[in-house]
Amino acid sequence: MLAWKSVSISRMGQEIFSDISLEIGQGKIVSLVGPSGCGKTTLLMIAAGLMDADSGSLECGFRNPGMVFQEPRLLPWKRAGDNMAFGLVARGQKSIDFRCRIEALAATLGLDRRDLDKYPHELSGGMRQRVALGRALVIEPDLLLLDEPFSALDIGLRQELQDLLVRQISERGLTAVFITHDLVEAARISDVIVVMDRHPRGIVYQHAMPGIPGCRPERDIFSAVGDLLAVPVVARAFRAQDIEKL
Amino acid sequence: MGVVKDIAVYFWSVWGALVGLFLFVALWEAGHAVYGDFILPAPADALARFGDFVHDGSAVSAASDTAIRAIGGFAVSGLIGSLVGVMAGLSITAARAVRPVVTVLLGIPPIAWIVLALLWFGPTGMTPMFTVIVTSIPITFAGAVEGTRTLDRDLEDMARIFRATRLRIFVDVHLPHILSYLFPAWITALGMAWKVAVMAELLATSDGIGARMATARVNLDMAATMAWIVATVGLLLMVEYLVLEPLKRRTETWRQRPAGHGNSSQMRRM
Repeated sequence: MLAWKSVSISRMGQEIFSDISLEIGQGKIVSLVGPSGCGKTTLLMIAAGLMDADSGSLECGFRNPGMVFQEPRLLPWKRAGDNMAFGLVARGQKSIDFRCRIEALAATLGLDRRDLDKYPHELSGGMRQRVALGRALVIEPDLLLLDEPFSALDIGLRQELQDLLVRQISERGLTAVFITHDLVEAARISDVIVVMDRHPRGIVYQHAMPGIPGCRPERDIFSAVGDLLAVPVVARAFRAQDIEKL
Repeated sequence: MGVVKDIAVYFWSVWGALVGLFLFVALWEAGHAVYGDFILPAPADALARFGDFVHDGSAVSAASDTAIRAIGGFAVSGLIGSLVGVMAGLSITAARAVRPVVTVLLGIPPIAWIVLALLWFGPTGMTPMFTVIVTSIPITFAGAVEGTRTLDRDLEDMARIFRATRLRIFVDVHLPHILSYLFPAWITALGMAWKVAVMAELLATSDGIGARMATARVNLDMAATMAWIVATVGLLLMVEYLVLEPLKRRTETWRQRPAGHGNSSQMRRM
């Protein structure tokens, strides 16, 4: 179980959010959606142990978190295969022991052997994000933290990687926290949608999606999004975002 | 097989450089044709004279004296400048404190250092060596500070999430980045080291290439002067293209385009 308990945090004298509580059950995919600046990424950073809350606490029953960022964050001086192995090497494993595992996982992610020998600058954006996904999955995580991993990709590729991700998550029985701007993406791949807003700050709405992530018909996804947007607090959160875009 | 291909590609890239070099020699020859032997001896004469120096052994002994001073001084300044620079880069306060000192050091012309060194060390080999050290430390220092100040915090966060130890974060995440800044600085410093060493020798010592040039000047021996210039440049090119450049290629394959376009980093430097 992963739980933030009345967590507050501020940086440089500015409050990012205060008194947020959220619990994520075992084996669930939870999406955090909301306008930029509402503190989604900060929430994830606290869970990853990269930021400390000013008050409140984090309860984390997971031992082995993996993370994928908005940018691939690959080491430019390491080949794709070595980048994928980064977490394993950091844990002191030998390359003979995991070579095959990396290649097998790479194949399911749509990367062949030749891609693994390339440097990140020789790969396309989608390929790089596959490598980053592989790096997070190969350590056999029990919790996956995803910070808008597909937002920089074009729509077709995005959907392909979403399917790939959901398949991996369900096969491995992972728990995942997924940040996105995109309500449709959230409705497609998550069990629970958590809507955050800036005014009022914090979590404004939670919605459990029926059915199995990744297996929902498009029709249901769009009607769920329609229903969500009919809720006043959700509509407000997303309208604010639209105004910002203009 | 791959190694053979790499070497072949490397030497092929030398052709381009040779074209420029021959063009330069042609210009030199033209200058000789216009101004005559006394002002500008022919390249062939200079080379012949250089051949004589190689024969009687004076070329090797002069070059090795100069090389020890230049490379030794460069090594000391590379070590100190890089280490202190990395430390300064890690702390903003230290960087602020050291930066004006570096600016002052960079501002002092090498010739002023030679005068100081002459007074301190007299006409010994220490004078060129010291001058090389003080003039190239600011360069390596600045490279190290710049590399350390621009470290990628996002990559560091990533490494921490994947439970990399501090040592691994340094070796795998920070060091390659810092090296990519240090290498060009080292190459610049080494090029400078030769010139400064020869200059200091010319004024301060009785051996080394610089001292030979001083002798040639006194004797108004233009061919010998040109021969020693050729020797200096030859040494510099040898060190750069046989040692530093291959080393740089090895450590920076990740930055280069696939084979055939490997000259981009060289061009940038030029």
